[in-house]
Amino acid sequence: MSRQIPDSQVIRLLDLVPYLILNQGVALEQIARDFQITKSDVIDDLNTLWMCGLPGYTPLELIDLSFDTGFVSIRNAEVLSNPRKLTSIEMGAIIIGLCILRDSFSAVDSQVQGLENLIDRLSKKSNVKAPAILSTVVTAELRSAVNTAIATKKDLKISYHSFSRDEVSSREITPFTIVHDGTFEYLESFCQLAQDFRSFRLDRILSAVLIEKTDSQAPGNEPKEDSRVDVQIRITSNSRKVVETFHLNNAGEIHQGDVFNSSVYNPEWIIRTICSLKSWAEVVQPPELRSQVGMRAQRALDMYV
Amino acid sequence: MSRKSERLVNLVIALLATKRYITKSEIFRTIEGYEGSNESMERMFERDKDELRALGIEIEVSGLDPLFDDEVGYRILAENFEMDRKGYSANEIAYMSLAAQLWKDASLSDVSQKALRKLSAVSGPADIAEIPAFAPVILTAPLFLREIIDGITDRRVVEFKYLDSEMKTNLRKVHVYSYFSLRGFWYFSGLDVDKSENRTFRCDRVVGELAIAKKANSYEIPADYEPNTTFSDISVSSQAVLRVRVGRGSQLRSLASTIESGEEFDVVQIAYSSEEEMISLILWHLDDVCVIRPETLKNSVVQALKKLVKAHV
Repeated sequence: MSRQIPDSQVIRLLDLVPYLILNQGVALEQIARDFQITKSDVIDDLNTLWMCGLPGYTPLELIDLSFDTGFVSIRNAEVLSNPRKLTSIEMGAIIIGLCILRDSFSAVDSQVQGLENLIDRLSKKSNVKAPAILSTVVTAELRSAVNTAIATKKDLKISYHSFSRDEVSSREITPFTIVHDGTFEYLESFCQLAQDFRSFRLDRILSAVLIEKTDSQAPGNEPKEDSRVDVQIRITSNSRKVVETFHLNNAGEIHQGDVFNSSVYNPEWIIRTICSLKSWAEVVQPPELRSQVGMRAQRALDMYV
Repeated sequence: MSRKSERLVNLVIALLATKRYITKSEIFRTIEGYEGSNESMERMFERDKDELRALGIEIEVSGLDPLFDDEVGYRILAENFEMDRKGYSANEIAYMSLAAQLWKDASLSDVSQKALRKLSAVSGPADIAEIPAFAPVILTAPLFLREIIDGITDRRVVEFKYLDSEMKTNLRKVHVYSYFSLRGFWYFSGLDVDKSENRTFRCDRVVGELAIAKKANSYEIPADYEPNTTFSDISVSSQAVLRVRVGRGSQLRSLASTIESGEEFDVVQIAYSSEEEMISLILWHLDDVCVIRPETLKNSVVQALKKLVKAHV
């Protein structure tokens, strides 16, 4: 089963014609960039198109191209002048993208209704469904503060809920982009507190205020000390949850009693994670961490006496 | 390679330009590139036709027409081939381009690259000034999202191996009705054919490839279908009352229906449907949380903690 339609020359040629008609006089280099191919591929494509046209194939019927100056113009290609229809997966990619755009504007923005209509029309026409939900739980104020900070290159003062430590901290950050993993959005930033790049989950930022740029040190290039801890964990029950928590890829081959290695940056995370998995997994190594888990669980148990 | 592309493009132009169906013999006679014996031209044409169809180009075939003896005719309908460019404003096209660009360097980037290419031939640069400054976003989605979308669009059956909670994999055959993304995961839902029940599947629990059937239109999507995106059975919702240390447990607090402030601990009430998940969440918070009631929840937490202590001595 083929996973994707190959970028065949035929498809490229069919897409090239309407593009050239709209962009008369476009430079060869620009075509190479727009189609993500090399300049010699572009020339090869144009030489092929040169021989195409309506049956008869006299100069009257052939597509008329000129590109010897390095700039391309096209005539006599009316039959192919319209861009091809989007395929269902291309439409799917656009519809999902539009849903993300719609959700990224605050509800009051005038664009939201327009995008909603567009998504609806595209979906009805192409039969490609929009996702039933793309959940985001970010307030309009936060959204607007973050977008403004990125667009105007300002810093933000945020209060952030750190999940593994279950703490709310205040930080000054220089945000530069938002990354979306399908549902959660992460604000990629330089954090003044950590003096390093950090990504913050947007829905865990409790508040954000624009501030003038602090006189920050340019991010240094010196390597950070590697603070990873190697942990050995034994699976004590056939549980999908353990596999998913530790992102073990070979799910089909993992069985009760198996021991695997995991590298973690944050011992606190591993302690809490092991506890939240009830008794489906236990820490084998290192011994300090193992006894930490026991100790912390005991302390929680003491709450009930 | 170029010769073949040339022949295929010529075939597309001829089939698109014709107002009536044209026959194979007309194609062989008039279209540049068909050469050799009749038999080799036939083979060439069959391959070309399959290739164009594989590229997503629909070729219409006429029924047997007495006028053509028993020869079938072919053509490409413009409305099946071309984008309906008049239906969209310049700004809408700009939004569509922007939407396609979100996939840069991500799972559907090759697909959206092709979409962008087509969109860039619809109109010149739109009035970008009207499109507000927007922070760049990069999207990711499961690799087989395209099969899911194709499955729904063409109503083709999908088959895959799915990991259950006891780590066993089993083969599922599904009529996909809907897809969505929630709390960090992509899901699809629809009719599980063997179980004859509607089910929801999490994409990362699919083991290996997801196969899509060739046959289209093999099922209907119920018009009133709504995926269950809450995963909760409202009828079994229970209430937990917890003591939560002041300044801790933001996650629990965000789920709370009521919070009563106290000195060292607040009393927090939370509705939940899955006891498993509630136990996990309470255990995660260790000694910052203590269950007051219900008794069953409290006992489960205490049991789990005892086991943890025992396993880690």
